[in-house]
Amino acid sequence: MDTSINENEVVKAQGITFRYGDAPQPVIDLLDLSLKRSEVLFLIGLSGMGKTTLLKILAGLYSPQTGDVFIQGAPLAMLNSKDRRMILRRVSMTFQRSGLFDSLTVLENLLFPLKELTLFSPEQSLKVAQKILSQVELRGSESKFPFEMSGGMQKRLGIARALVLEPEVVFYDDPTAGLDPITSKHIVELILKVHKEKETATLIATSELDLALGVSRKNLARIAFLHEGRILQIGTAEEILDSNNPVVFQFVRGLLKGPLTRLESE
Amino acid sequence: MYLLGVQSVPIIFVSLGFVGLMMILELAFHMRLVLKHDALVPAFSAVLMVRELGPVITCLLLTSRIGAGIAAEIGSMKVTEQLDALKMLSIDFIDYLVIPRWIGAVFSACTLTVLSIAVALFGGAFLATQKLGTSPGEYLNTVFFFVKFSDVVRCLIKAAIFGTLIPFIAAYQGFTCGTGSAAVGEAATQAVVRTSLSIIIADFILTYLFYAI
Repeated sequence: MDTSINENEVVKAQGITFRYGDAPQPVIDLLDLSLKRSEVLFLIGLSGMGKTTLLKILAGLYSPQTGDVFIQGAPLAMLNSKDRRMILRRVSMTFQRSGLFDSLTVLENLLFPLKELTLFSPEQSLKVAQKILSQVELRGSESKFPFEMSGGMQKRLGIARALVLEPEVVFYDDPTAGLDPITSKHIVELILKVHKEKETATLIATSELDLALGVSRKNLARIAFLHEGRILQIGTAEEILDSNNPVVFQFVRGLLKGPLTRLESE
Repeated sequence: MYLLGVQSVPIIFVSLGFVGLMMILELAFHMRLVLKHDALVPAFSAVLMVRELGPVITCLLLTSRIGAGIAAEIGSMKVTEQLDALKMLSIDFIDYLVIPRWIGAVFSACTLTVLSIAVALFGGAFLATQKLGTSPGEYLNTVFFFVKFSDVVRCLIKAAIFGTLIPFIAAYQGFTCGTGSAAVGEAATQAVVRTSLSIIIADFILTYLFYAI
Protein backbone atom coordinates (compact mmCIF):
# COMPACT_ATOMS: atom_id res chain seq x y z
CA MET A 1 0.00 0.00 0.00
CA ASP A 2 1.38 3.37 -1.03
CA THR A 3 1.26 5.64 2.01
CA SER A 4 2.82 8.70 0.40
CA ILE A 5 0.63 11.72 -0.39
CA ASN A 6 1.25 13.40 -3.70
CA GLU A 7 0.67 17.17 -3.74
CA ASN A 8 -1.32 16.74 -6.91
CA GLU A 9 -3.80 14.36 -5.26
CA VAL A 10 -6.74 16.29 -3.82
CA VAL A 11 -8.53 13.18 -2.60
CA LYS A 12 -6.82 9.96 -1.69
CA ALA A 13 -8.36 6.81 -0.22
CA GLN A 14 -5.86 4.48 1.39
CA GLY A 15 -6.72 0.90 2.29
CA ILE A 16 -10.33 1.72 3.16
CA THR A 17 -12.77 -0.99 4.19
CA PHE A 18 -16.43 -0.39 4.91
CA ARG A 19 -19.27 -2.71 5.84
CA TYR A 20 -22.87 -1.90 6.79
CA GLY A 21 -23.73 -3.01 10.34
CA ASP A 22 -22.92 -6.67 10.90
CA ALA A 23 -22.86 -7.61 7.21
CA PRO A 24 -20.34 -10.44 6.63
CA GLN A 25 -19.00 -9.01 3.36
CA PRO A 26 -17.54 -5.51 3.22
CA VAL A 27 -19.00 -3.21 0.56
CA ILE A 28 -15.59 -1.55 0.16
CA ASP A 29 -12.63 -3.85 0.65
CA LEU A 30 -9.12 -2.43 1.24
CA LEU A 31 -9.58 0.06 -1.58
CA ASP A 32 -6.99 2.58 -2.76
CA LEU A 33 -7.96 5.44 -5.05
CA SER A 34 -6.74 8.93 -5.79
CA LEU A 35 -8.32 11.90 -7.51
CA LYS A 36 -5.91 14.43 -8.95
CA ARG A 37 -6.28 18.21 -9.06
CA SER A 38 -8.58 19.39 -11.88
CA GLU A 39 -9.09 15.90 -13.27
CA VAL A 40 -12.30 14.07 -14.20
CA LEU A 41 -12.46 10.50 -12.99
CA PHE A 42 -15.34 8.15 -13.81
CA LEU A 43 -16.20 5.40 -11.38
CA ILE A 44 -17.98 2.63 -13.24
CA GLY A 45 -19.26 -0.78 -12.24
CA LEU A 46 -22.39 -2.84 -11.85
CA SER A 47 -25.20 -1.60 -9.64
CA GLY A 48 -24.77 -2.57 -6.00
CA MET A 49 -20.98 -2.79 -6.18
CA GLY A 50 -20.41 0.09 -3.77
CA LYS A 51 -20.10 3.19 -5.98
CA THR A 52 -22.45 5.31 -3.86
CA THR A 53 -20.92 4.00 -0.64
CA LEU A 54 -17.42 4.86 -1.88
CA LEU A 55 -18.49 8.38 -2.83
CA LYS A 56 -20.07 8.89 0.58
CA ILE A 57 -16.89 7.68 2.29
CA LEU A 58 -14.76 10.04 0.21
CA ALA A 59 -17.16 12.89 1.01
CA GLY A 60 -16.83 12.20 4.74
CA LEU A 61 -20.44 11.08 5.14
CA TYR A 62 -19.43 7.55 6.17
CA SER A 63 -16.34 6.63 8.17
CA PRO A 64 -14.41 3.61 6.91
CA GLN A 65 -13.63 0.83 9.40
CA THR A 66 -10.03 0.61 8.21
CA GLY A 67 -7.81 2.96 6.23
CA ASP A 68 -8.33 6.66 5.79
CA VAL A 69 -9.37 9.32 3.32
CA PHE A 70 -7.05 12.27 2.73
CA ILE A 71 -8.49 15.53 1.45
CA GLN A 72 -5.66 17.74 0.20
CA GLY A 73 -3.32 15.70 2.37
CA ALA A 74 -5.39 15.97 5.56
CA PRO A 75 -6.43 12.60 7.02
CA LEU A 76 -10.15 12.81 7.86
CA ALA A 77 -10.02 10.21 10.66
CA MET A 78 -7.26 12.09 12.49
CA LEU A 79 -8.89 15.52 12.40
CA ASN A 80 -10.94 17.06 15.18
CA SER A 81 -14.51 17.90 14.26
CA LYS A 82 -13.77 21.61 13.58
CA ASP A 83 -10.85 20.92 11.23
CA ARG A 84 -12.82 18.12 9.59
CA ARG A 85 -15.69 20.52 8.89
CA MET A 86 -13.26 23.09 7.46
CA ILE A 87 -11.63 20.52 5.16
CA LEU A 88 -14.95 19.05 4.03
CA ARG A 89 -16.15 22.55 3.07
CA ARG A 90 -13.94 22.08 0.00
CA VAL A 91 -15.89 18.98 -1.01
CA SER A 92 -19.39 18.79 -2.41
CA MET A 93 -21.64 16.08 -3.74
CA THR A 94 -24.79 15.53 -5.76
CA PHE A 95 -26.98 12.64 -4.78
CA GLN A 96 -28.59 9.80 -6.69
CA ARG A 97 -32.01 10.55 -5.17
CA SER A 98 -31.41 14.29 -5.56
CA GLY A 99 -31.12 15.09 -1.83
CA LEU A 100 -32.88 18.38 -2.50
CA PHE A 101 -34.71 19.93 0.43
CA ASP A 102 -38.29 19.37 -0.65
CA SER A 103 -39.76 21.91 1.77
CA LEU A 104 -37.63 24.68 0.22
CA THR A 105 -38.00 26.34 -3.17
CA VAL A 106 -35.29 26.26 -5.83
CA LEU A 107 -33.88 29.59 -4.67
CA GLU A 108 -34.08 28.65 -0.99
CA ASN A 109 -32.23 25.39 -1.72
CA LEU A 110 -29.31 27.54 -2.89
CA LEU A 111 -29.61 30.27 -0.28
CA PHE A 112 -29.70 27.78 2.60
CA PRO A 113 -26.02 26.66 2.34
CA LEU A 114 -24.94 30.27 1.79
CA LYS A 115 -26.85 31.40 4.87
CA GLU A 116 -25.56 28.57 7.06
CA LEU A 117 -21.93 28.46 5.96
CA THR A 118 -20.89 31.89 4.72
CA LEU A 119 -20.86 35.43 6.06
CA PHE A 120 -22.54 36.80 2.93
CA SER A 121 -25.22 39.42 3.30
CA PRO A 122 -28.68 38.40 1.99
CA GLU A 123 -28.05 40.55 -1.12
CA GLN A 124 -24.69 38.89 -1.80
CA SER A 125 -26.20 35.43 -1.29
CA LEU A 126 -29.01 36.24 -3.69
CA LYS A 127 -26.52 37.42 -6.30
CA VAL A 128 -24.44 34.22 -5.97
CA ALA A 129 -27.55 32.01 -6.12
CA GLN A 130 -28.88 33.76 -9.22
CA LYS A 131 -25.51 33.49 -10.96
CA ILE A 132 -25.41 29.74 -10.32
CA LEU A 133 -29.03 29.39 -11.46
CA SER A 134 -28.10 31.09 -14.72
CA GLN A 135 -25.18 28.70 -15.18
CA VAL A 136 -27.45 25.67 -14.83
CA GLU A 137 -30.21 27.35 -16.86
CA LEU A 138 -32.77 27.40 -14.09
CA ARG A 139 -33.50 31.14 -14.04
CA GLY A 140 -37.25 31.63 -13.91
CA SER A 141 -37.76 28.55 -11.70
CA GLU A 142 -36.72 30.24 -8.45
CA SER A 143 -40.09 29.88 -6.75
CA LYS A 144 -40.74 26.28 -7.78
CA PHE A 145 -40.42 23.42 -5.32
CA PRO A 146 -38.21 20.45 -6.31
CA PHE A 147 -41.22 18.14 -6.63
CA GLU A 148 -42.71 20.50 -9.23
CA MET A 149 -39.69 20.02 -11.49
CA SER A 150 -38.69 17.37 -14.03
CA GLY A 151 -35.91 14.86 -13.28
CA GLY A 152 -33.45 16.79 -15.44
CA MET A 153 -34.24 20.08 -13.70
CA GLN A 154 -33.82 18.42 -10.31
CA LYS A 155 -30.39 17.12 -11.37
CA ARG A 156 -29.43 20.62 -12.52
CA LEU A 157 -30.58 22.08 -9.22
CA GLY A 158 -28.56 19.40 -7.40
CA ILE A 159 -25.50 20.45 -9.39
CA ALA A 160 -26.19 24.11 -8.65
CA ARG A 161 -26.44 23.43 -4.93
CA ALA A 162 -23.24 21.39 -5.03
CA LEU A 163 -21.42 24.32 -6.65
CA VAL A 164 -22.87 27.21 -4.70
CA LEU A 165 -20.11 27.15 -2.07
CA GLU A 166 -17.42 26.94 -4.78
CA PRO A 167 -15.94 23.57 -3.77
CA GLU A 168 -12.60 22.30 -5.06
CA VAL A 169 -13.83 18.71 -5.33
CA VAL A 170 -17.25 17.58 -6.57
CA PHE A 171 -18.63 14.06 -6.46
CA TYR A 172 -21.56 13.24 -8.74
CA ASP A 173 -23.53 10.14 -7.82
CA ASP A 174 -25.18 8.70 -10.94
CA PRO A 175 -26.03 12.16 -12.33
CA THR A 176 -27.83 10.76 -15.38
CA ALA A 177 -29.82 8.00 -13.66
CA GLY A 178 -33.39 7.80 -14.91
CA LEU A 179 -32.93 10.52 -17.56
CA ASP A 180 -33.55 10.28 -21.30
CA PRO A 181 -30.45 10.32 -23.55
CA ILE A 182 -30.82 13.97 -24.55
CA THR A 183 -31.25 15.22 -20.99
CA SER A 184 -28.38 12.92 -19.92
CA LYS A 185 -26.11 14.48 -22.52
CA HIS A 186 -27.18 17.94 -21.40
CA ILE A 187 -26.34 17.12 -17.77
CA VAL A 188 -22.94 15.68 -18.69
CA GLU A 189 -22.13 18.74 -20.78
CA LEU A 190 -23.13 20.93 -17.85
CA ILE A 191 -20.85 18.97 -15.49
CA LEU A 192 -17.93 19.26 -17.92
CA LYS A 193 -18.59 22.96 -18.52
CA VAL A 194 -18.57 23.62 -14.79
CA HIS A 195 -15.44 21.49 -14.40
CA LYS A 196 -13.69 23.51 -17.10
CA GLU A 197 -14.75 26.87 -15.69
CA LYS A 198 -13.98 26.16 -12.06
CA GLU A 199 -11.26 23.53 -12.50
CA THR A 200 -12.80 21.31 -9.87
CA ALA A 201 -11.56 17.79 -9.29
CA THR A 202 -14.55 15.75 -10.44
CA LEU A 203 -15.51 12.19 -9.63
CA ILE A 204 -18.56 10.82 -11.44
CA ALA A 205 -20.08 7.49 -10.41
CA THR A 206 -22.17 5.89 -13.15
CA SER A 207 -23.29 2.55 -14.53
CA GLU A 208 -23.37 3.98 -18.06
CA LEU A 209 -20.20 2.82 -19.76
CA ASP A 210 -20.82 4.69 -23.02
CA LEU A 211 -21.08 7.96 -21.15
CA ALA A 212 -17.75 7.37 -19.39
CA LEU A 213 -16.01 6.20 -22.57
CA GLY A 214 -17.30 9.14 -24.61
CA VAL A 215 -16.14 11.75 -22.12
CA SER A 216 -12.89 9.92 -21.43
CA ARG A 217 -11.92 9.92 -25.12
CA LYS A 218 -12.67 13.63 -25.54
CA ASN A 219 -11.35 14.99 -22.26
CA LEU A 220 -8.70 12.47 -21.30
CA ALA A 221 -10.71 11.59 -18.21
CA ARG A 222 -9.64 8.46 -16.39
CA ILE A 223 -12.02 5.60 -15.72
CA ALA A 224 -11.89 3.40 -12.60
CA PHE A 225 -13.71 0.08 -12.60
CA LEU A 226 -15.14 -0.85 -9.21
CA HIS A 227 -16.11 -4.42 -8.49
CA GLU A 228 -16.92 -6.06 -5.15
CA GLY A 229 -15.48 -3.13 -3.25
CA ARG A 230 -12.15 -2.97 -5.09
CA ILE A 231 -10.81 -1.01 -8.03
CA LEU A 232 -10.06 -3.71 -10.60
CA GLN A 233 -8.62 -1.36 -13.20
CA ILE A 234 -8.01 2.33 -13.69
CA GLY A 235 -6.94 4.04 -16.87
CA THR A 236 -7.98 5.74 -20.09
CA ALA A 237 -10.91 4.60 -22.23
CA GLU A 238 -8.57 2.57 -24.44
CA GLU A 239 -6.90 0.91 -21.47
CA ILE A 240 -10.30 -0.09 -20.06
CA LEU A 241 -11.49 -1.37 -23.44
CA ASP A 242 -8.31 -3.41 -23.93
CA SER A 243 -8.36 -4.80 -20.41
CA ASN A 244 -7.32 -8.42 -19.90
CA ASN A 245 -9.22 -8.62 -16.64
CA PRO A 246 -12.13 -11.05 -17.31
CA VAL A 247 -14.61 -9.01 -15.22
CA VAL A 248 -13.77 -5.71 -16.94
CA PHE A 249 -13.68 -7.50 -20.30
CA GLN A 250 -17.21 -8.86 -19.81
CA PHE A 251 -18.56 -5.52 -18.54
CA VAL A 252 -17.18 -3.37 -21.37
CA ARG A 253 -18.36 -5.80 -24.02
CA GLY A 254 -21.72 -6.45 -22.37
CA LEU A 255 -21.28 -10.21 -22.62
CA LEU A 256 -23.97 -12.41 -21.09
CA LYS A 257 -21.51 -15.12 -20.07
CA GLY A 258 -18.56 -14.49 -17.82
CA PRO A 259 -17.49 -14.01 -14.21
CA LEU A 260 -20.01 -11.21 -13.59
CA THR A 261 -23.06 -13.30 -14.52
CA ARG A 262 -21.65 -16.37 -12.80
CA LEU A 263 -21.36 -14.38 -9.60
CA GLU A 264 -24.94 -13.13 -9.95
CA SER A 265 -26.36 -16.62 -10.59
CA GLU A 266 -24.47 -17.99 -7.58
CA MET B 1 -45.75 25.33 16.10
CA TYR B 2 -48.75 25.64 13.80
CA LEU B 3 -48.35 22.07 12.54
CA LEU B 4 -47.47 20.62 15.94
CA GLY B 5 -49.99 22.46 18.06
CA VAL B 6 -52.74 24.41 16.34
CA GLN B 7 -53.70 21.66 13.90
CA SER B 8 -54.03 19.24 16.83
CA VAL B 9 -56.62 21.40 18.61
CA PRO B 10 -59.84 19.93 17.11
CA ILE B 11 -59.07 16.25 17.78
CA ILE B 12 -57.79 16.98 21.30
CA PHE B 13 -60.68 19.24 22.29
CA VAL B 14 -63.35 16.84 20.98
CA SER B 15 -61.69 13.82 22.63
CA LEU B 16 -61.09 15.46 26.00
CA GLY B 17 -64.57 17.03 25.96
CA PHE B 18 -66.13 13.59 25.67
CA VAL B 19 -63.75 12.14 28.27
CA GLY B 20 -65.01 14.84 30.66
CA LEU B 21 -68.63 13.89 29.98
CA MET B 22 -67.93 10.15 30.30
CA MET B 23 -66.15 10.64 33.64
CA ILE B 24 -69.11 12.45 35.15
CA LEU B 25 -71.46 9.63 34.10
CA GLU B 26 -69.19 6.85 35.37
CA LEU B 27 -68.28 8.51 38.66
CA ALA B 28 -71.90 9.48 39.35
CA PHE B 29 -73.08 5.91 38.74
CA HIS B 30 -70.45 4.32 40.98
CA MET B 31 -70.66 6.91 43.75
CA ARG B 32 -74.41 6.54 43.95
CA LEU B 33 -73.98 2.78 44.04
CA VAL B 34 -71.30 2.72 46.75
CA LEU B 35 -71.60 5.98 48.68
CA LYS B 36 -75.28 6.63 47.99
CA HIS B 37 -74.57 10.26 47.00
CA ASP B 38 -72.77 12.07 44.19
CA ALA B 39 -71.69 15.37 45.74
CA LEU B 40 -67.98 14.65 45.23
CA VAL B 41 -68.27 13.74 41.55
CA PRO B 42 -66.98 17.15 40.31
CA ALA B 43 -64.05 17.02 42.72
CA PHE B 44 -62.94 13.50 41.79
CA SER B 45 -63.38 14.06 38.09
CA ALA B 46 -61.38 17.31 38.19
CA VAL B 47 -58.54 15.83 40.25
CA LEU B 48 -58.35 12.79 38.00
CA MET B 49 -58.41 14.99 34.92
CA VAL B 50 -55.68 17.37 36.12
CA ARG B 51 -53.41 14.76 37.63
CA GLU B 52 -53.70 11.95 35.08
CA LEU B 53 -56.07 11.96 32.15
CA GLY B 54 -55.47 15.53 30.96
CA PRO B 55 -51.73 15.27 30.25
CA VAL B 56 -51.76 11.57 29.34
CA ILE B 57 -54.65 11.59 26.85
CA THR B 58 -53.59 14.92 25.33
CA CYS B 59 -50.04 13.69 24.78
CA LEU B 60 -51.16 10.28 23.48
CA LEU B 61 -53.31 12.08 20.92
CA LEU B 62 -50.42 14.42 20.12
CA THR B 63 -48.21 11.36 19.62
CA SER B 64 -50.54 9.87 17.05
CA ARG B 65 -50.63 13.18 15.19
CA ILE B 66 -47.17 14.66 15.42
CA GLY B 67 -45.02 11.69 16.50
CA ALA B 68 -45.89 9.77 13.36
CA GLY B 69 -45.44 12.92 11.29
CA ILE B 70 -41.97 13.69 12.66
CA ALA B 71 -40.77 10.09 12.17
CA ALA B 72 -42.16 9.94 8.62
CA GLU B 73 -40.72 13.34 7.70
CA ILE B 74 -37.22 12.57 8.97
CA GLY B 75 -37.38 9.00 7.61
CA SER B 76 -38.34 10.33 4.21
CA MET B 77 -35.48 12.86 4.39
CA LYS B 78 -33.15 9.95 5.05
CA VAL B 79 -34.50 7.89 2.15
CA THR B 80 -34.23 10.82 -0.27
CA GLU B 81 -30.68 11.62 0.95
CA GLN B 82 -31.68 15.01 2.36
CA LEU B 83 -29.99 14.06 5.64
CA ASP B 84 -26.79 13.32 3.72
CA ALA B 85 -27.12 16.71 2.04
CA LEU B 86 -27.45 18.37 5.46
CA LYS B 87 -24.44 16.44 6.70
CA MET B 88 -22.45 17.60 3.65
CA LEU B 89 -23.24 21.15 4.76
CA SER B 90 -21.96 20.28 8.28
CA ILE B 91 -25.37 21.01 9.72
CA ASP B 92 -26.13 19.37 13.05
CA PHE B 93 -29.28 17.22 12.71
CA ILE B 94 -30.21 17.71 16.36
CA ASP B 95 -29.91 21.50 16.20
CA TYR B 96 -31.67 21.81 12.86
CA LEU B 97 -34.33 19.09 12.96
CA VAL B 98 -34.94 18.05 16.56
CA ILE B 99 -34.58 21.11 18.79
CA PRO B 100 -37.23 23.24 16.98
CA ARG B 101 -39.64 20.29 17.06
CA TRP B 102 -38.85 19.71 20.73
CA ILE B 103 -39.61 23.33 21.63
CA GLY B 104 -42.83 23.18 19.56
CA ALA B 105 -43.89 19.86 21.07
CA VAL B 106 -43.27 20.92 24.70
CA PHE B 107 -45.09 24.22 24.20
CA SER B 108 -47.97 22.46 22.40
CA ALA B 109 -48.19 19.68 24.99
CA CYS B 110 -48.38 22.16 27.90
CA THR B 111 -50.85 24.59 26.32
CA LEU B 112 -53.05 21.88 24.82
CA THR B 113 -53.11 20.00 28.14
CA VAL B 114 -54.31 23.09 30.02
CA LEU B 115 -56.86 23.99 27.35
CA SER B 116 -58.13 20.44 26.97
CA ILE B 117 -58.56 20.11 30.76
CA ALA B 118 -60.58 23.33 30.66
CA VAL B 119 -62.74 21.89 27.86
CA ALA B 120 -63.22 18.64 29.81
CA LEU B 121 -64.16 20.54 32.97
CA PHE B 122 -66.66 22.73 31.12
CA GLY B 123 -68.14 19.61 29.53
CA GLY B 124 -68.32 18.03 32.97
CA ALA B 125 -69.92 21.14 34.44
CA PHE B 126 -72.56 21.14 31.72
CA LEU B 127 -73.43 17.48 32.30
CA ALA B 128 -73.30 17.84 36.08
CA THR B 129 -75.88 20.62 35.93
CA GLN B 130 -78.10 18.50 33.67
CA LYS B 131 -77.69 15.10 35.34
CA LEU B 132 -76.70 15.76 38.96
CA GLY B 133 -78.59 18.97 39.55
CA THR B 134 -75.40 20.81 40.58
CA SER B 135 -75.19 24.48 39.62
CA PRO B 136 -72.18 25.57 37.50
CA GLY B 137 -70.95 27.77 40.35
CA GLU B 138 -71.18 24.92 42.85
CA TYR B 139 -69.38 22.63 40.42
CA LEU B 140 -66.50 25.07 39.88
CA ASN B 141 -66.24 25.85 43.62
CA THR B 142 -65.81 22.15 44.38
CA VAL B 143 -63.26 21.80 41.58
CA PHE B 144 -61.15 24.74 42.79
CA PHE B 145 -61.37 23.52 46.38
CA PHE B 146 -60.00 20.06 45.60
CA VAL B 147 -57.56 20.82 42.79
CA LYS B 148 -54.44 22.34 44.36
CA PHE B 149 -51.85 24.55 42.70
CA SER B 150 -49.32 21.72 43.12
CA ASP B 151 -51.61 19.49 41.00
CA VAL B 152 -51.46 22.03 38.18
CA VAL B 153 -47.65 22.26 38.46
CA ARG B 154 -47.36 18.47 38.37
CA CYS B 155 -49.73 18.33 35.42
CA LEU B 156 -47.50 20.78 33.53
CA ILE B 157 -44.34 18.86 34.48
CA LYS B 158 -45.92 15.70 33.07
CA ALA B 159 -47.01 17.49 29.89
CA ALA B 160 -43.50 18.93 29.41
CA ILE B 161 -41.86 15.53 29.89
CA PHE B 162 -44.33 13.77 27.56
CA GLY B 163 -43.86 16.61 25.08
CA THR B 164 -40.11 15.94 25.23
CA LEU B 165 -40.53 12.20 24.67
CA ILE B 166 -42.62 12.68 21.50
CA PRO B 167 -40.10 14.46 19.22
CA PHE B 168 -37.02 12.67 20.53
CA ILE B 169 -38.41 9.15 20.11
CA ALA B 170 -40.02 10.02 16.78
CA ALA B 171 -36.85 11.66 15.47
CA TYR B 172 -34.80 8.64 16.58
CA GLN B 173 -37.16 6.37 14.64
CA GLY B 174 -36.79 8.61 11.59
CA PHE B 175 -32.99 8.75 11.79
CA THR B 176 -32.69 4.97 12.16
CA CYS B 177 -35.28 4.08 9.53
CA GLY B 178 -34.25 1.76 6.71
CA THR B 179 -34.44 2.48 3.00
CA GLY B 180 -37.67 2.50 0.98
CA SER B 181 -41.18 3.77 1.57
CA ALA B 182 -42.14 0.70 3.63
CA ALA B 183 -39.37 1.57 6.08
CA VAL B 184 -40.74 5.10 6.43
CA GLY B 185 -44.19 3.70 7.26
CA GLU B 186 -42.65 1.30 9.76
CA ALA B 187 -40.70 4.15 11.37
CA ALA B 188 -43.91 6.17 11.77
CA THR B 189 -45.73 3.19 13.32
CA GLN B 190 -42.86 2.42 15.67
CA ALA B 191 -42.70 6.08 16.68
CA VAL B 192 -46.35 6.01 17.78
CA VAL B 193 -46.06 2.64 19.54
CA ARG B 194 -42.85 3.43 21.39
CA THR B 195 -43.81 6.97 22.34
CA SER B 196 -47.23 5.84 23.60
CA LEU B 197 -45.62 3.14 25.74
CA SER B 198 -43.01 5.58 27.01
CA ILE B 199 -45.68 8.10 27.98
CA ILE B 200 -47.66 5.51 29.94
CA ILE B 201 -44.55 4.20 31.72
CA ALA B 202 -43.28 7.75 32.38
CA ASP B 203 -46.71 8.67 33.77
CA PHE B 204 -46.51 5.81 36.27
CA ILE B 205 -42.97 6.78 37.34
CA LEU B 206 -43.88 10.46 37.70
CA THR B 207 -47.06 9.73 39.64
CA TYR B 208 -45.09 7.42 41.93
CA LEU B 209 -42.43 10.09 42.48
CA PHE B 210 -45.01 12.84 43.09
CA TYR B 211 -46.71 10.77 45.77
CA ALA B 212 -43.32 9.87 47.26
CA ILE B 213 -42.26 13.53 47.53
